[in-house]
Amino acid sequence: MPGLFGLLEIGRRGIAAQTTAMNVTSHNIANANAAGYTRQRVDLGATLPLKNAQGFLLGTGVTVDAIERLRDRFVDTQFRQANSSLGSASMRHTILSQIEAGLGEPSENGLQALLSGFFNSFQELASHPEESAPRQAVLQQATRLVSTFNRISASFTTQRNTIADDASNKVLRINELTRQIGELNRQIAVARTSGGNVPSDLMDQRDLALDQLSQITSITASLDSQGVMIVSIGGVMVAGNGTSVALQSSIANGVLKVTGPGGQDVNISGGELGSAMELYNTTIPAYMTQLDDMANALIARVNAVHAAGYGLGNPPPTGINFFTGSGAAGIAINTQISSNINNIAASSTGAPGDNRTALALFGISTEQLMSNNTQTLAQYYGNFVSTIGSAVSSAEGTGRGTELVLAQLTMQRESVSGVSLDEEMTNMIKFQRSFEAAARVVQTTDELIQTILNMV
Amino acid sequence: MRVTDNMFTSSFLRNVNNARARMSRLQDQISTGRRVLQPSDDAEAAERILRLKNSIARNDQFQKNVADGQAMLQATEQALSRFTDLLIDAKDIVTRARSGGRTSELRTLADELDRLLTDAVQTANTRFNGKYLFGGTQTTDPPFILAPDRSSVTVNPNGITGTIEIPVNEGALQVINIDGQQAFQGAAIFQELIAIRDAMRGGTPPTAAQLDAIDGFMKYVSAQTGTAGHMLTSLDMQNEVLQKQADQLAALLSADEDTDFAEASLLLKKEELMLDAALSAAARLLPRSLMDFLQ
Repeated sequence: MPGLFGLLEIGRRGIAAQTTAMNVTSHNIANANAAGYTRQRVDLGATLPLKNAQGFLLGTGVTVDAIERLRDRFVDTQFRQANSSLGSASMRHTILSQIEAGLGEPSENGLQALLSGFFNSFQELASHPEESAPRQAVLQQATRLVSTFNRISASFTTQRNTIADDASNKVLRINELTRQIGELNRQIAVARTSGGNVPSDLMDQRDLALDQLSQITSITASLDSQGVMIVSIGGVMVAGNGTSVALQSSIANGVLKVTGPGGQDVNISGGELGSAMELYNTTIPAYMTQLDDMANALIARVNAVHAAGYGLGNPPPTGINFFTGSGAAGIAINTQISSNINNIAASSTGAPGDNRTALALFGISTEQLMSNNTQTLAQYYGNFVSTIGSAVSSAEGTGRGTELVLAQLTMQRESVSGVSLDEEMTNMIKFQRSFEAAARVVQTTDELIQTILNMV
Repeated sequence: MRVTDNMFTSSFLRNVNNARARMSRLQDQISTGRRVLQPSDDAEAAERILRLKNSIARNDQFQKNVADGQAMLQATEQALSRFTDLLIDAKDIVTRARSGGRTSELRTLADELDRLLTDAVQTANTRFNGKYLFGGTQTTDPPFILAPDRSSVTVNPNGITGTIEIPVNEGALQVINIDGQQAFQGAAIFQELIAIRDAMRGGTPPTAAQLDAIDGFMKYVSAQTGTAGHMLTSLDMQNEVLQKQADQLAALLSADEDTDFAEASLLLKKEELMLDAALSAAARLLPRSLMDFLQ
């Protein structure tokens, strides 16, 4: 091939290669802001040399060896782990902050203030046991206390219902993403076998879907020898080559769970869904139990003291419970009390001026009724509030820490895979000049051929 | 390290966002004057705040109790001192009756003593804030009943005894009443006055023993006035203690709950400067690219 026509061929190959390179550069520039896009690079290489008449090896021009996809798999794995952690922490933070806001502490309308208001109203009653104004005040304080117990308990329940709805949406989203990944796996396998090329844009879509999936739950993703991304969640394979498996969420006996197609439990951990399930199944029920314990202790103790005392009347009424119901959701004021405030017992003897029952009822505020008789109701509740507060701030802290890690990993990923416009611009100029030079080679060769032809 | 355009924008946005979040928090703290707005702002402090608020509410109620007790004891003291005055008057009448002798004079003095008896029963039945001060725990019925024919004074059949205690501090109760039995030794005083009156109406002047009895009662009731005074003093002392405690509690609460304005404004200023710097750096760097220099 060496010779003038060989020169023409080298020029042609140069033009073709630079055009391809320009194509890739433009594609990079166009997708600079596309989510999940991985920059591509043209690898140019010299074609096989040929021996000329004298036996020297001469070059034959350039060809496109490959269009590379610049991606760091190691960073991807780390990114997805961090993304799961962040999803989990931010879900936890969101829900717990709502619970915290529901408590409304510290404020005048929080349970703590109402609890102390309730007990203090018995002091006032002790000062004026024969009057009706302090009885009215006791009833009013008790009403506010009871309705706040009910309200907080209802807010926990609402929160759980919201979580359950959200979880079932998230499971649907998982199914949609795994379906996409399965389908992309198939398309990628086809593209590979037909062209032998790297289907870069399809792989970008698959990686993006994996990123989104990792925010919802922890996943394990590995490439098999055919380049198929095998994804599993909690030990269940959910996406393979053209296949995917749909998961389902359900609630049975107050437990939220996710099951596979055969009905087997899928152990969801991490991510938004993992955190939602933990909140639904463990964290919130524990808070509800604490609040219920508190309400039950209050009901039992106040009733015991109250029933032993006497109200106002002839004969003075006695043996009446102050509260009815049980738990924070069920606590209510006995209708005998709310319909007749003279049934509120202040006296221990029946004498209208005696206040010993009122004093004993006030005394409950300092009785250590909770935590195996080591804490008063107020201390127990203070602890409860502080526990929730710490949980919120620790979720926030974890979130912030993970966010930093994720930002760092995003930077690393961007550093490898991101499009730099300056770089693309430089490449463009480079390829433009090469194109121009290759065109000049063709032109010059043409002139040389003309020279030869003119000799004839 | 390769630095791409997206790295610039995303790190800029993240930094600005964080700065704005910190500023918003500081602004909340400054505008509400409170450092802990939710328990998560400082869980430990939140627990202390709840505890302190509880103590403050209890302290308020104790102060109210003490004020109620003071009012009641002041009324008790006044009633007892008025009762003592009445007994001094009775002593005077009895002394005059003993030195005089004419039957008509005795009758006039007996009528005077009878009026005094009414006053004495009324004083012993003093009501304050709707309750009979000397009824013990039977505060809704008059403790002493003067028979319609004025021949006798009996006590409330439900009783006139019983102490009333109120909480005046954590774990501290104080008695705020003197019951009828303790104040007047029941109806004995009145019975003595009635006996003297009836004797005088019959023409018999009071005996020396009767005069001594009245004097004894007078001294006894006067001593009870002193007891009420002592109880009042001790309530006054409690009040001072409570007020001091209230001040301490308020100071502790403020330390946990209130914003340190100087510190918060300084931090806000710092955040402001940092935000300005980040914005101006971004304004210079973000629009730059190779394109600006290619014709």
